[in-house]
Amino acid sequence: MPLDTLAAGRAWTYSHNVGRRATAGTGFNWPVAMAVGKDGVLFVANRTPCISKVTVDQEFIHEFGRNGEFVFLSGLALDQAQNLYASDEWQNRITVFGNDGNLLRTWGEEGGGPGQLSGATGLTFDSDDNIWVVNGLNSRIQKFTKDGEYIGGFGVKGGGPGELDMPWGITIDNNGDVYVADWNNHRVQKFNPDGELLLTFGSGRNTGVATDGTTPYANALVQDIGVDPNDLNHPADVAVDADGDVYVVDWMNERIVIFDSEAKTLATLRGEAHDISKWAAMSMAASPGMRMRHRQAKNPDVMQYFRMPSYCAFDQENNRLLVCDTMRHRIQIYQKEEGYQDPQFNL
Amino acid sequence: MANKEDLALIAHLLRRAGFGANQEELERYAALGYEATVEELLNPPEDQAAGKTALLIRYNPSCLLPGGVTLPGQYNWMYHMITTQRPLEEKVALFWHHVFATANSKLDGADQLVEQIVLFRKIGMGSYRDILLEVAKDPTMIFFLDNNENHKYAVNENWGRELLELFSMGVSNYTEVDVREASRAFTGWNIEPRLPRQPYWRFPWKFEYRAADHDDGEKTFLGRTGNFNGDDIINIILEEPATARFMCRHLYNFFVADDVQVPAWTIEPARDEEALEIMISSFVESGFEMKAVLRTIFNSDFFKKARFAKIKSPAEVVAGTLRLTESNMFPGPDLPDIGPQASYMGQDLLNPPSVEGWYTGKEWINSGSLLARINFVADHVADTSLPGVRNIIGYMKTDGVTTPGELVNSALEYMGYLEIGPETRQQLMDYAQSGGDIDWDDAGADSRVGEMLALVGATTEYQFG
Repeated sequence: MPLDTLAAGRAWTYSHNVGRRATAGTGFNWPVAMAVGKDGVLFVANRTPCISKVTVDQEFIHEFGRNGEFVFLSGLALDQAQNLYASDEWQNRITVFGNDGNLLRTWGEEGGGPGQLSGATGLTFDSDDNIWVVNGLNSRIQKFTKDGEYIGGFGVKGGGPGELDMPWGITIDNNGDVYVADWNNHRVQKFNPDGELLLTFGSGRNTGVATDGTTPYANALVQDIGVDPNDLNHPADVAVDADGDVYVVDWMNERIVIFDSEAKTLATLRGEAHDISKWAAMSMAASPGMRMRHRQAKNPDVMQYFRMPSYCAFDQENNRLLVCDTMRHRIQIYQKEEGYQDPQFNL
Repeated sequence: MANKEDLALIAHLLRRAGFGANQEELERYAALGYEATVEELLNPPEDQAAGKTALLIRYNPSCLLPGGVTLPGQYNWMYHMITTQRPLEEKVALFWHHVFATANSKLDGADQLVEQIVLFRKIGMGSYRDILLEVAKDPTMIFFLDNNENHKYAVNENWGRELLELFSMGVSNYTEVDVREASRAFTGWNIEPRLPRQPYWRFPWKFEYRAADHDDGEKTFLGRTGNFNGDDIINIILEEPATARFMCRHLYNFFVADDVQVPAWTIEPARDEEALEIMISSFVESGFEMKAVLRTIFNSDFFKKARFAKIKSPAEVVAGTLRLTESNMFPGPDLPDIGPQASYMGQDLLNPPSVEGWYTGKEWINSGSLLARINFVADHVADTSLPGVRNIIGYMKTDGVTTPGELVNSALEYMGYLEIGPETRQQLMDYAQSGGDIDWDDAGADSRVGEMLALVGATTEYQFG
């Protein structure tokens, strides 16, 4: 049975994972973003680029976006009608698909001015069905109608309070407040919809990449990253649940850091995918060599760890957290249990 | 502003101890002073990074774990060469990859090679003893030279032989028995079985010492007898005079001036025996510290006098050009294009032709590779939209460059204070004069600069660094 990750009154229990490395079909190829649809449907943005439509129950539906629509496919979001919006941070364009993957329209103008796109990346919809777009390169957050009409925005490049440096992921909580993964400032900032800073998550202390460049390789075999959870290292994305708990993808520390609504750290998730997904089992079944090597591995526990995760989403309807485990080409899924009470210690 | 002689000397230092420098960097280093620059290169400040690693992986995630495909590993490394603020550290990594050559052609795992380059960055300027020990434990090397097949009752001599022949002493300084005994000492130095590449992609290797598979018997190696393990072998190797000489000859050939290739070292004298002796003394007296011998090299007269005494390696041509023109500084979708450029010129990074590494010097040049070098440089320096080229045009305007002679001289300076012969100068002058004086208000003025820079890049002299 999977282990539980505990904090006061809550538990996050690993459920299962979806995916395997595959360049097409039943698997992912450097998944970097996701959109959680109705009835367990997931849209997954592969950096290759293409978009996979699958289910949480590991059914492959189809894939699209291979016809030159994208160069650097980056963000995904679903509107209330379940149409899919995809950002391209190189072409600075939003591409809109129907739920079945048919191309509906594109919009977006490259530039640094209000309403223009510069490194368009993280996407999210608010309760009014307007779309918020993160400009990674000029560090602005902008709100548009679904047709791309500019409504407003905020954000300037810098390291001071409320400023942003190469932001990446974004989410909006049930109160309409906006959370931005302030990637190069090593923090997450919470704003009201007018762009007024409300709260900061993470110390902002730069633990960055070691000067000798070892950081991206140092964690792969390590359970305990050994860095204070409050010291985020290039956070890539953020999600919020209905209780106000905040999930930060601590990209280069290769973990999820969970904060409470007051920005106090509650727990960390290092990844617990100790099991083989349905599609991964197909790979294993097809290759006796891989199966044997798997059995011989002296450190099979390292399979479960996140490897540079870059996106997370909280599915409030089903109370579960989904994490894009980018370098492992899978989605790890955790179930949140509320009102958790620890059993008597000496049972 | 520093005088031109100081700038020319700093440019020479940065070509060898890095991948060249633009005018702004040269001015900063020249203001710092030559010896202080050497110290900064040897001991880069902590806030200077080994490249824009995070930016690279954010936009090109596939280059962290490229798997069997060499290309993403190549542009990963080339991107670090062009964005590093610790140029000597990166150059030393290139040196070690050349000496301790391992190749993706056998490994089928460019992620292991990229990780090995990270190791060279980390330890490359430390103690040679520690480097040998780390390389002996490096799974990439263990697999490449079959030490995972070197067992107590079935000795494989590949690693043991290359350790002596190519990584420390050189041929004719040991016997076949020494190879056998060294190999016995490294039995049990193996790799921990790891998870396979499918279904969740590549996991790193890890060194594993298997005591039960280690030959614990007595060995006689280079005249010493004992129950030696691998680290004892390395200690004995370091006691042999041939080792310091062999490594210093490598260092001379890489950092100072082109010498004959390794297989000829037993029959051809060193290019500069006096310089070699100075390096050997520094290396041995420091306890085989790389920083000490590099400091001796860069501050020596023989180094300062060795300007343009080396043919640039393809990696130096590519990285130097990209740094000069400030091209590909953002890791956009065209980044993969920089990965194979050195390969087109004969240096397939992460994939050397054999455990001997690459043959250098004039071996870099043939009718195909020379064209590739010239075309690559010309394509970049003639692109007047690139930031580095725009800067050069700006400097020329500020300098008041007007006449054809001034255009030629200025282009030679901003391409690295290049020294050329009279025949080449006349050819450049003929071309410059055909356009007359430069009128900076003329729409074609920038292109004339680009064309002149491209012509300089096409000269025989520019192939030397």
